[in-house]
Amino acid sequence: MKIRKIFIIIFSICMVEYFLNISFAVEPDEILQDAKQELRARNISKNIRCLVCQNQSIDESNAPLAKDLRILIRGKITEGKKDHEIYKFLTDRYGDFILLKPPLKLSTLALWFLPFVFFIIGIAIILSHNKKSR
Amino acid sequence: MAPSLGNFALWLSLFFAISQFFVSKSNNLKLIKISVNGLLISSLISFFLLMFSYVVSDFSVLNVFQNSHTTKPLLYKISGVWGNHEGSMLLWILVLTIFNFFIFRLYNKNNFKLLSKTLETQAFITIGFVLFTIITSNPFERINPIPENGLGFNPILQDPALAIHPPLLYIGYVGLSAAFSLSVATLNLNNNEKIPWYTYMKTFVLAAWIFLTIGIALGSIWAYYELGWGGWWFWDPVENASFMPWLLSTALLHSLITVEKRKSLKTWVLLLSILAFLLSVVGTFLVRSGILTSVHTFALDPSRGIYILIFIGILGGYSLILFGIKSKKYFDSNYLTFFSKEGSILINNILMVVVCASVFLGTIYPLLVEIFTNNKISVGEPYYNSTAVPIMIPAILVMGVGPILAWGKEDKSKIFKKILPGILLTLIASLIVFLIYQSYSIIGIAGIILAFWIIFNNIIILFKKIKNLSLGMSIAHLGVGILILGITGSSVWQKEKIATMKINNEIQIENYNIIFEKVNEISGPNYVAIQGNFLVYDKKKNIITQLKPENRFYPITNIFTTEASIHTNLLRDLYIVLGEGDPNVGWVVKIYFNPLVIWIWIGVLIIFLGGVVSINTNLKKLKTLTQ
Repeated sequence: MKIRKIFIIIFSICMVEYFLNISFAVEPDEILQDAKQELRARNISKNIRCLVCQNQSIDESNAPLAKDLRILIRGKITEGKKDHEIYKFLTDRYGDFILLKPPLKLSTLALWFLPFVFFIIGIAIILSHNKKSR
Repeated sequence: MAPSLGNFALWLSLFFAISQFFVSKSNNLKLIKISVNGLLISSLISFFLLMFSYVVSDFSVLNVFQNSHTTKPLLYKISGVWGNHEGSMLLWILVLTIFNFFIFRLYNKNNFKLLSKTLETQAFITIGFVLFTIITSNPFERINPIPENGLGFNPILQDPALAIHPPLLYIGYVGLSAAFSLSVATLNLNNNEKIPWYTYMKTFVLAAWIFLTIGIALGSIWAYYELGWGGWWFWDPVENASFMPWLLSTALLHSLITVEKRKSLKTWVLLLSILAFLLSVVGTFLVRSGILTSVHTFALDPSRGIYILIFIGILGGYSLILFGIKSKKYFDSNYLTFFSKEGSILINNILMVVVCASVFLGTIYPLLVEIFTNNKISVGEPYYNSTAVPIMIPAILVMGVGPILAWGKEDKSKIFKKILPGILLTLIASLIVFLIYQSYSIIGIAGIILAFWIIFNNIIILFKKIKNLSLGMSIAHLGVGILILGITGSSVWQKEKIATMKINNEIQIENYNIIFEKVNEISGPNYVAIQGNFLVYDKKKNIITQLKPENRFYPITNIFTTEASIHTNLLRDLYIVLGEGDPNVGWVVKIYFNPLVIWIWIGVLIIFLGGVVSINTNLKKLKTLTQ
């Protein structure tokens, strides 16, 4: 069985690269025993961007850096750190770029409020139309 | 030989597009016909010659070398033509010229002026894209010496859904280009010319909307079945680029109905059709220029981005100035009442535009921040969940009532009577669902109620057979209700298990026991894989199914992918992904319990059917118009 041999060779070569390429998003050995703490970790991870990926949270990403951050977050949780402390630790180190939900700041005012300004303008247009028609 | 001919045909397209631009001003129908047909034929030739180069693996063509390989299955050699930037531009041009041809076929004595101007604008757009392709992204570029084999093709993209996804989206975008050109032509009409331009426009917008809908859905299907993340929508900028034109074309479709029935909102429709196409081109710019990945990669090779930006500038500048000068004559002072069909359409329009604006904001804001402040921020799913999604809720509420209301002015005392059955049915059905499943989350409750609200109102409409009510609309709306049901179920009640499993290990998720039976080694046409075999039992120990997720390796591109294995029924999907591992330690296994996912696809299919029914009625109207 030649094909089988080739198969095994290819596969064993790949196994080395395997860890670099496709280690899984959240892996079993990372999961915390305490279900409540694990849920907190998952919720935080969903808001943290995988820095080397395109538009992926570390919760979904299988990049090694994402794994490191997931482990780091879980470590902080077991140390008893609160959510906002963990977020602060991460943004101090990596900047706002790491947050998938951008924080409210002067530079993001327009981002957060414009949709609702649009919404209010829209409602105003409808109401003014309604008034004039009477 | 073929590539040189293809290149020649591409230049010929440029020639015919330029000639169409100039002769469409004249009254010479024969010359116009030659240009239109010549353009169609030459772009067909260049497109199929590139496809031929892919099929025969002609690696003297740089584009084929970079994106194909002799071992690639035929289907993906063909879809490889548009799986890359250069080839996809060729497809864009082809679709553009096909639409161009359809517009030409509508010619008759009455609409000559409108259609000539439309063809002139279409010709301008075509020139823009052909020049773009020739200057910055020529797919027929050659390499020497000829390589022995190609570099392959990203295996994640080897999927039937993704193979037809881009052509469908392009038909959508280009359909919007026809609406754009018709809008420009309408603005150029004289005051006394009364042509039902909106009926022409509606056909193209409907076509665009149908294809955008199905194209976006196929993208989601691909993400769900191929990416193995258990989800189907990620608010990725690339997804947003197709979602924004969809939102605007939905708004456009609804306001066009108001124009047709009530002769109001004309100016709004003219503006919206311009914006919808401009946004499609902006979306293309964002996706194609590489600016989304990083402002720096964009800065390294900005030629493509700058070209599209200038092109958008010219198109947008011209059309918006034209609108500013000439739209006054279409302005009407028929104000709308809140409690009427056109009132609810207006609300729908405004909310759609607001949702689109916030998606746009979220997509481009990181760019703006990076350019102006040197900081970098990310805008991801949590942002859209707290802006775009809540704004959609009132739109969905109105959607349930709108179709039942009368045109003009509705008697307010009658409204309550009309919507009472819908309210009652919704409440009863929602109560039953929550009593059975005993799962309460605010978003879940809201989603289920909204879904039933739409579903029951439209079932009532369909059964009552109310006169003058569009069948297509009721069907499409019913589809939206079902879609919301699926979206709510799969996002609120998704369950997930991650574990390391050895052979014969067992895991439980919801009411199922899953046994990891064995691992096989298999090989496909251009990959090798390990395949897990999982037996799924229900609580009574009856076997439900076998799931066989794969972990594939594509040696040519040196890429690993996971193939999820999914068992679907009407209530839930069981979704298994096989990760890394070996017999000693065990394999990492991820299992999702995704409720109601199938209803997302069924919902979209019903929306699509509704669109087809509508376009059928509309085509009949158009036929009587152009005879």
